[in-house]
Amino acid sequence: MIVAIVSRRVSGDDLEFFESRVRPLLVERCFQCHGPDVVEPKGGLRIHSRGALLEGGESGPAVDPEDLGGSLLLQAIRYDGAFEMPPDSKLPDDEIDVLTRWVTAGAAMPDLEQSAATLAAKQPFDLQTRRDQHWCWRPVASQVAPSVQDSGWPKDRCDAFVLQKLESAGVHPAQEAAPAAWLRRVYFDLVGLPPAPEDLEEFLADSPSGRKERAVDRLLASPRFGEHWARHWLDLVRYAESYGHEFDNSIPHAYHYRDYVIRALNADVPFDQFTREHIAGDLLPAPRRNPEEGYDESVVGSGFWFLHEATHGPVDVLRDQASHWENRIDVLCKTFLGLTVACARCHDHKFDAISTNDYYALVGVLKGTRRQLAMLDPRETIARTASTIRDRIATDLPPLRYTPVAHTQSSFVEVSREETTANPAAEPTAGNVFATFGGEDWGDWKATGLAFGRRPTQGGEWEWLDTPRPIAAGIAHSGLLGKEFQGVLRSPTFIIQSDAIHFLVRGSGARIRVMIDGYDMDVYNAILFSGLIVDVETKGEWKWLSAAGDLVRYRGHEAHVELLDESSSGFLAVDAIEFDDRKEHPAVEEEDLSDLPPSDIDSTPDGETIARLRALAAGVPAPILAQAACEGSPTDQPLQIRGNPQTLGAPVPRQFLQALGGIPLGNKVSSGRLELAHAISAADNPLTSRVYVNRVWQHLFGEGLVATSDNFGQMGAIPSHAELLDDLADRFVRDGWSTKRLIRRLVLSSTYGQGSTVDPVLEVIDPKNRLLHRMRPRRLSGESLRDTLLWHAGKLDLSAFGPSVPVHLTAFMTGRGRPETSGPLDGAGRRSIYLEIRRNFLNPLMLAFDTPIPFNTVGRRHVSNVPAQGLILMNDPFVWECCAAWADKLWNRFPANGDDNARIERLYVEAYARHPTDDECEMAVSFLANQRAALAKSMSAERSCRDAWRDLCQVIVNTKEFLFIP
Amino acid sequence: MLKQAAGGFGAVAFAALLGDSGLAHDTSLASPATVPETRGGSSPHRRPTARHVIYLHMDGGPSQVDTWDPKPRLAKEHGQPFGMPAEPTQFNNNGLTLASPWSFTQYGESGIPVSELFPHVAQHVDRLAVIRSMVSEFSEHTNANYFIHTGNGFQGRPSMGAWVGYGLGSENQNLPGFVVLNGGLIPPGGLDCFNSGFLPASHQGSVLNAEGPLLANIAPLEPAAELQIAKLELMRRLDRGYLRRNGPEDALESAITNHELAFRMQSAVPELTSLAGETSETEAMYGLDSEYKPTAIFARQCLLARRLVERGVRFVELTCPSVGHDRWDQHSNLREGHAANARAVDQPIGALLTDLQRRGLLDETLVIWSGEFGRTPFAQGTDGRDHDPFAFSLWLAGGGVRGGTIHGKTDEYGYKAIEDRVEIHDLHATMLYLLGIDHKRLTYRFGGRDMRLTDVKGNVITAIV
Repeated sequence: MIVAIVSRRVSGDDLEFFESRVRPLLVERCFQCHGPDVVEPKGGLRIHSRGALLEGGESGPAVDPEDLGGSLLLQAIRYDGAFEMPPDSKLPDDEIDVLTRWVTAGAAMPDLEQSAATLAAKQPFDLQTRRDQHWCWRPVASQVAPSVQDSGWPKDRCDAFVLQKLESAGVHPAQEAAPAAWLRRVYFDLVGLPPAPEDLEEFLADSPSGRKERAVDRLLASPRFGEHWARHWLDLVRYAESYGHEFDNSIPHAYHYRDYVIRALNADVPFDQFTREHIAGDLLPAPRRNPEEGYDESVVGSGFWFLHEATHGPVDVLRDQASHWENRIDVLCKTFLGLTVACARCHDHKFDAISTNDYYALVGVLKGTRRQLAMLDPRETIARTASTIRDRIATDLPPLRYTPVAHTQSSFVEVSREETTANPAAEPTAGNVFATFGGEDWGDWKATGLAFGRRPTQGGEWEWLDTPRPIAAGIAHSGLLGKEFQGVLRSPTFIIQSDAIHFLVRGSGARIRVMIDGYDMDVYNAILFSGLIVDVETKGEWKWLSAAGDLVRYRGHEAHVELLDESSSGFLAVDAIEFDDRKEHPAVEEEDLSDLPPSDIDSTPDGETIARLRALAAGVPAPILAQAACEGSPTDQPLQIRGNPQTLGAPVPRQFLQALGGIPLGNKVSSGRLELAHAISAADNPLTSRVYVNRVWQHLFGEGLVATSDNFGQMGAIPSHAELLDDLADRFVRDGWSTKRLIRRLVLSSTYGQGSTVDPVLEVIDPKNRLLHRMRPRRLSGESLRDTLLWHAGKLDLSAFGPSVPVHLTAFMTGRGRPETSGPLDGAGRRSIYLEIRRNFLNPLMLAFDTPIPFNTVGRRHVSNVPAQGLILMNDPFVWECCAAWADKLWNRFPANGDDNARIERLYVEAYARHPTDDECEMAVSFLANQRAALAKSMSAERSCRDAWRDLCQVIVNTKEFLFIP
Repeated sequence: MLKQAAGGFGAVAFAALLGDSGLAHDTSLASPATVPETRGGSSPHRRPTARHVIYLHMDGGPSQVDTWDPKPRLAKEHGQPFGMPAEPTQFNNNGLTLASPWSFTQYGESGIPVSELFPHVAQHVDRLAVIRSMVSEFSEHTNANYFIHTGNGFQGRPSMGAWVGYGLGSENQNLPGFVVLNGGLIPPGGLDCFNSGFLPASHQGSVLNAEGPLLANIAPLEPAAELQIAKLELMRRLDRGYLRRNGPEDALESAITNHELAFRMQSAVPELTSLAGETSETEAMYGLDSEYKPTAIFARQCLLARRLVERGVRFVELTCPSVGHDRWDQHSNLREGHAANARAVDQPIGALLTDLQRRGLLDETLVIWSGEFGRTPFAQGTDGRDHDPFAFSLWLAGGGVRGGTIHGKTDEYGYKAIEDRVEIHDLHATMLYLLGIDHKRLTYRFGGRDMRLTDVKGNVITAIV
């Protein structure tokens, strides 16, 4: 057909019509974006020939030879399709007529001349060439440490690489930092707090041989280490505890993820394992156990997928879903791979070897992934109790020879598979039967927690929650082990084709939920999604309950059902699920759905046995809940043309990035997440190890060997020391992906041991210090600053883990979703990592000192200078409180009025890890005298002494020496 | 080595704007510690007609057909089923066609019709360019608020005020470049509407409260000024000693300079907000003495906006005061709610335009009045209107805007823009154009992309400049 049109003999009249009427119109209305000279035409449509129209752009042919009148081009100008063109105004009717006449006559046009630039720009996306031409895709290469002239300088292999570059540039390394300065540096870098004067004294008194090693080992073993390094990691995963947007609803149980990161760092979990746990911690065959509580630790890592912002009531739920996918892929790929894969959502990557197919191949993995609240089982008490109860049921309850076939009938049949797989309880059917739970296992359904057991009822089970009764086969039942057990059962994904979904249920304190396109914010605000959460409270009866409400809006959308027993005193039994257009199930009025008490049972369980079972169940603790991923219904995602969920292309098979091998991910029963986890954490993945060692380097040296630590692509920086980067990555992997051993090497290196003072001569040769001819002074993070202030004040509470301290609200932190009560000004003295992070109410001190806004991966913080920093340090009540407490602490240590010099001495050692000079002592003494005199005008002499000291402490806090790591 | 004369990021931005290839500035490439951050004016890319922006954010979405886009057909078909197919709405409770409760009168030489909601602003109609064909991409408040503030519907991007500060620097050494005068209602989406996103924190909006304490930590806690001065003097001496021992380190020097700015702000901000120098005529014109408290609050905000502009602040945003009827988000009670919101802002805005004009500031100050989207011409329930992202009206004034113009057109119901549709990216492009900035060349490298306020879109609305 195409051939016929293209080769159709073009009449002179057609061309004349084009020249006289169509071409001027195209030039005026269309060619700004789609003209033959446009290098990057909108939507990929460049109109330069009839062939180009037939070929079309990203959304398909502009002219459809099979249906000329229905051509996309005409739909667009009529404003009655997916596109409205021209976008700013509809064309006048007469112009629409001209174009319609032209297209319906076959869209005859001559080939228009194209400029050289446009022809050059038509180069196809060539992934392989891009891959071959950029360094980051190449395998990590084993290195030989370079030889250097000053062979005594290198202490670690990394030093040889650094020194070699320095020497070839004619630059020598800086003098070694003074031991005290080095100690202060390594304390801040490893634990985020300064050394106590006693620590300093001990260090200086220790034998120089091996004292650095001993200090570093102590710090790495400190619980404070994980608390400090976890914050670096949280920057990558946009960690927050609320969803932002209008009402800033809380992300429940988010803090378990934060604690997980701290524990993982303290336990030095190998980074490849840590990576796998993030991506697929719920799927690992042998998950790690929490060291204290014994629960599945690995699953908690997968919570990182769901820490993004979220809004309620999206009018376009598909777009909402697509934006979450984009954020998850963006965070995943920047964090672990240093790649901007999400740039390929709408078009092939502009610079890197990443195609739009790559993006949607990963979206497919996410499409088969859902969110769950994982039910963690402390010390596996829940599982053990379940097992005990199951054994007791098997031995202590009388066997059932008969089982009810249906709740609507009083007849009993002999227990047998054939009889019970059919489930007449669901009759009469109202519409399409979605589930009757007639199988021997859950099939496509997936369970969280233990309440629903391993399979639907098979016939022969007792329910003993109240009066013992036999339970029919083919029921999803969460109460057969007792009401205390909690669990969730999730259905496979289906397409909504009815206005209502009916559930034949019995239960209490439970819920049923229909989730549409993964949207789950209706728990906070049901607008546009009302009626999709059904409370189950049937008072012992079997009842048909219905999810309807806004379901009617979502015909054709994907959804799944969640059966939720999330209470310790309820249960949920579901017999059948049906799709139907009526808002209520017809059986509601026609049938008596109550269970008839069995009158033909061989024997009933005795009360004592039941009491024993109940007592066992009563001992079951509630599970610990944590955000986590779980498997949904695996499937491929169709490509969304230009990122638009409304314009779909072909399904894209799930696979890993083509430039990294493109191995297939998943199949019909697996989302592919586990395979993705293995692909990313593979030892031969050239990016994961490089990206991670570079991050560690950056945190210790102030700048990564690749300065753009989240982007190793074409637009990122090239490595300053490429061989060193590879050597670090190579040895990191061979050293078991140990973060602590990597850090230990680096901080014990000569490079790290350099002083930070400026040498004007070397500054000219290496002005940006890319060669590392000295250490860079680095400003404290907001977290370290706050922790340090509390520490000096003697108010730092070092207890670890647990729910966050609510955010302190100032008068300037207003807006919807503002918590009703403010947290304490001093954050209860807890370390900053334990302060609550609410997206719409971020801590002003952290904001001022560059803690990133949690929306995306930020591997490298700004170091900005904003007046708010100065204002906080000068005038914030928290700072004043800390300084006053610090002054009191010094006075308590040296209580005599004449002890000023001793106090000054102590102050300096605490603040700067050094002694004051004589000059500084004099300055302090005279400041105190003047300040006392001025203060005494408005207060007692005694008070003025204390306040003058508070003022001196505050001066110290404001000095740059205090605020910078040497 | 102190880079006091440099224009900070603004100058960096402009150095690149003036070059050929656009800005490829990446702080992560520069040593972060060496980024100078003192501020100063810069020479722009094209001759600017505006030096400042005052953005009046009409939070909640004022109804276009009740404010700037009269539709007689609504009155004719009032109470009848709506004559066009309705798109999905936020509340999905679509009612019948709803006539505007307000009449429109033509004002000025241009004869632009103005709703009786705005008798004061109507006096300035010949200075306004009214755009009736605005569209948004979002029906939800938060997405739409992020979109109009940052050019992106999701949380975390830099606000337009931050972009302007990044592009132009500040003219005032003692005040931040981007100030939010908070009337009480922080828009849905929260303080992130004013944040600096991936731009340095120095560009984030500083929130000044209209009532109560002005700016966080602006007031010294010392009982006497000499006490703080003595502290700062000792700090300076110690810092000098440290700098001497360490050598001239940019990071240290910048931090020292920044501290001095904070110190000066302590006096600059109270000076700014003290209205002692204003005449009672001025105060009355704005409505500071209004018996209607929301008017008095917004009057103070408008007067402060003028004072900020006078002092060289680049971008001033005003949020609405609470009128007890919700923001301009009348899902019900349209009549009372819109009337109350209009009453709060009309007189102060009229006075602001008058005051800017008579001080010669309107020529260099772009004033923008806008919500995040419009409202449906059909009812939500019986007496409200739902969100309408397919059409809304806004106006611009001053700063090189062609006054007395109406741009764009909606259909006969005012439901959808049908002629000269203007996207928010176009609004941003136009704003930057008036400030002398080519929106395609104001970029910041983040996550491997050269990010823009206008994303990959935006066309200057040439008809109004």
